[in-house]
Amino acid sequence: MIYKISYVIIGGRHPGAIVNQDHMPYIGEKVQIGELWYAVQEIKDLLPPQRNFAYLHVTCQPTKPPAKQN
Amino acid sequence: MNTPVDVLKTADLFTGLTQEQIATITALGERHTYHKHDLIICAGEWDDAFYIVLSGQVEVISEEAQGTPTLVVLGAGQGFGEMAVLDAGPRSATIRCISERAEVFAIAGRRLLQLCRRESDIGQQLMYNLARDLAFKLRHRNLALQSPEEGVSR
Repeated sequence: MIYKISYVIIGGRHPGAIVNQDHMPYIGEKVQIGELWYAVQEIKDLLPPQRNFAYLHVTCQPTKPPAKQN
Repeated sequence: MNTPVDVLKTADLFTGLTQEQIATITALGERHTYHKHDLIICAGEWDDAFYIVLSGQVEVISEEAQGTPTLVVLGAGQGFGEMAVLDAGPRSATIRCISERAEVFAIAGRRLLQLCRRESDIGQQLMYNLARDLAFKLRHRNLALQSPEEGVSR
């Protein structure tokens, strides 16, 4: 399944992003849009799935970048 | 390295097309690499190339937009430049690379339309997919404009 995601940032100052990815997003996941990081707050179906595509609306909040791994 | 066909199979703009049909489209274009802050399209220019993001992120900018000039960020699998392909008008927005590196696949709009006329099965599916993609972008824009105010999480 391919997930076509509308990432919307709470606060309205950032226009958000549209991305296709091969994994389902999850609450708390950190995603990078441009130079900034955002944490996934809510996930909803935006449209009915079609063929091998799912269409999701994901709400995010600004967050800190993930800790660097050694 | 993934071939454009591999990546384009994960773009819903090409859903409903066979691997052979996607390969036919891929043969019309070429891969380009951009780096952070590079301009891919400039608003007002006359050019008809259609692009698919293979990797990285680009931002769509309109100086005429209210508030922030960035309209949306597009990541892997997203198309842009379709308006000039469909209406032959000037570029309506500027597209800039915002990731360290972005790879895009570019197809001359004229060649794409010629293929759509010649191969009607491809043309019908591709035009339907383009319309769905434009509708998705409008839905995203509406959702972003309705986004509530809230604080910063930790």
